[in-house]
Amino acid sequence: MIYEFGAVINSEINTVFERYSFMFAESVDKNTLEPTILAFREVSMTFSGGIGSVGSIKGSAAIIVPDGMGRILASNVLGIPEDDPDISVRADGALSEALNVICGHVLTTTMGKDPIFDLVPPVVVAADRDRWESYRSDKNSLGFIVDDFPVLFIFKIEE
Amino acid sequence: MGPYNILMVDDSTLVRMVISKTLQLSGHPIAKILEASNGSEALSILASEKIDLVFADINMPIMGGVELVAKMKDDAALKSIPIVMVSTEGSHTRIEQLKSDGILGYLRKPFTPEEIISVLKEILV
Repeated sequence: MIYEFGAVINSEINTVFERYSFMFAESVDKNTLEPTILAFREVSMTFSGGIGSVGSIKGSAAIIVPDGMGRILASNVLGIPEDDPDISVRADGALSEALNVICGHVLTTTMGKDPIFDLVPPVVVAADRDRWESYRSDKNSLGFIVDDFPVLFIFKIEE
Repeated sequence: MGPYNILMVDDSTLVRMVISKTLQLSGHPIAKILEASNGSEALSILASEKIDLVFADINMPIMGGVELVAKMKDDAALKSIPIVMVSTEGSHTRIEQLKSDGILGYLRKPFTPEEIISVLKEILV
């Protein structure tokens, strides 16, 4: 079965960022994104499940963002200032939760409301510019500007 | 009625903080807000504290929310405690299964403070 995720991902990323963190996400050509910094955070997760019409499915979702975006996200979600000591320790958690919610919404929208999926909690690691470029060269990656941050997102279903 | 002891079960500290903040501002009389990062930790707390309401995520490491609900419903001392699931999932199949297992409410992430308060109004009467 061939799934078309592009339009769904665009819509869900926009909805989730706005509702979750009051940030505006805009879909852009990934090749126009030129981050000015060298440090990034990479968040990835896997999922599996499904029943009925979609059968059994496995896949993954991942996002790479500039280091610093997680702080803004955490600040907006918690409603506390960016310089609050709590923010730096919550930044990765805010990114993880954002990916988790986006992944859940993309799965429900593309696969329908019958299948059940198990989502493995996301993992966050530091990433560099080379990693950013590997995301950009992935045929499944999509580009976004979230507020002023360049973001690359990958969603894959295993064949 | 109240004040209430509320247990939040989610592997995301951030989500627990957001719900906790909303509960504190909800106007409902809250005695204690307790936190667990998975179902196993939640069961330990439930064994030692009187809890009036549980908010639980579905996908968590060690023990997820579905197993937690099953264990609570199998335990005579815990089965009457109201449970609200809080998850990113939109699967009607799973929500209906959980409702038939006895959960009282379901909040889909990302939720608004108003949605949490609405659930509190329905359950904590």
